[in-house]
Amino acid sequence: MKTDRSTEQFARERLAGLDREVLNNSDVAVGGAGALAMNALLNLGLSGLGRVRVADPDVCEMSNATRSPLMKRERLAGGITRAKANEAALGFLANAYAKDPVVYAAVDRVERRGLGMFIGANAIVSAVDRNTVRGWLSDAGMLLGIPVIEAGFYGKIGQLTVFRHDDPPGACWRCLNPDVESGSASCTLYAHAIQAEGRIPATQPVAALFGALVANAVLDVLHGEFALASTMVTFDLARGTSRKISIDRNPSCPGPHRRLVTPVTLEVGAAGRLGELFDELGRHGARPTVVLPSPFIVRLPCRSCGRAVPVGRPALDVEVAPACKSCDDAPPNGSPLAHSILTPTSLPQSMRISRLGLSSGAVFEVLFDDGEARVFRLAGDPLDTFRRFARTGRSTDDSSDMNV
Amino acid sequence: MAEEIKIKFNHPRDSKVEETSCDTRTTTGASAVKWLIDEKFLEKLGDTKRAYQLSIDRTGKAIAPNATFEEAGVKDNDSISITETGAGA
Repeated sequence: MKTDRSTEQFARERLAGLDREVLNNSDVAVGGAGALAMNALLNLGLSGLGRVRVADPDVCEMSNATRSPLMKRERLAGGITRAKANEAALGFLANAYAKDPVVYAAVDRVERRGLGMFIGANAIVSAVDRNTVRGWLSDAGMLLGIPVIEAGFYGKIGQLTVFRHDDPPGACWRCLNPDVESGSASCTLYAHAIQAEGRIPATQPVAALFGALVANAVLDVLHGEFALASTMVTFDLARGTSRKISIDRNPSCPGPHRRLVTPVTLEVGAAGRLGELFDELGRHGARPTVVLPSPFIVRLPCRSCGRAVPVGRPALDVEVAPACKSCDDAPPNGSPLAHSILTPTSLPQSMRISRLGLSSGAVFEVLFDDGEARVFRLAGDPLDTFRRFARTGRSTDDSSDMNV
Repeated sequence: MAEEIKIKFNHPRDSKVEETSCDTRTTTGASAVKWLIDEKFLEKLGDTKRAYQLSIDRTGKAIAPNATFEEAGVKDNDSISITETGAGA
């Protein structure tokens, strides 16, 4: 008599209420691939989650290894640079018990991937260490109606917070953090904020605890359980104390407490030009104005002399105030110039759409002359620009190059 | 017209309590934390990776930094707990 090993394998999880089909077919987007994300992904892989998309720009350092269970010591040896997102993907697959697990990984800042990255995801995990990015992930979940599970720690204190983002929208992360700059504000301030954020005290036991709490909350959310919605649970491990705090919607919250309508997919993609974009938008309504997810910085003052320095990049890509090559050659007008909205005359029509920071499948709003705001999506799948890692049976699709 | 009430703040790490009175219409979560730091009841946090979160013991509800105590539902003789949060990941 044969035993169905896969059924036996999940016998205890089934008794605990986990549905293997739900997990096989669920898709979780993770912002960050540091200690918190890796510990969460380890638990989610073992629990049978099927699909993950993860973005993190950082590379593995030995100082991360002791809190990052998905990094393999032998892969860090030998001086080969390894990206955290790719190591998280490989580590997730190595521990995954889903039927055909798949991970899409991007070695990039999650906010640069835009809202398109989250379409189709069932939950968003906010495991980043910059508050500006936590705010951005919160906004993304709110606009797309996707639950966000957020956690953070410092030494032996930390917290887990769950935001359901149902309709009508309730509380969001910004309701408790209204002063955190949205990535769309002054890029100079953004740069200063990054520089001010240093390294924090952290250990694997603490990262493991909060990673497990995140994973447990994700599993609940994927099964439609929201007992912790709009709730922050804090822990002080040094003192053995915990507190449960409920979060009401803040009437003065600067977050977008609204839901985007279903986007219309355009024929033009990120490789197209602004002229093509506005031509196509013009067929949907008169005088389209594109609301940019991140302002396009035309110029900024030189950090040394204050004269204008051409930038030509989205604010999200500007981390430090620029300096001019030769102060004498710079034009005297050093006032910043940035576009938060675009009309057909804002920038050259021949400019590539991708220079605005919009990639394949990017989602953005457009205002028309009749006052209507509509949502559009560039052609292409945002996940096409991610690296796909998959495993069927005991092998991996990516086995041709495991030295990512 | 001012709405003066008595409140107690519970320290996040020990059993210290700060009793004071405040105007619920002008006191916000952020101004309360600033006052508690100025009074040396709370340690000034040196970076953006930590924050203080206030909550009302009676209701368990959070007080947002930009919400007045009146908006947050703070009442006379309420006890307000202070919790540290972290942004490390």
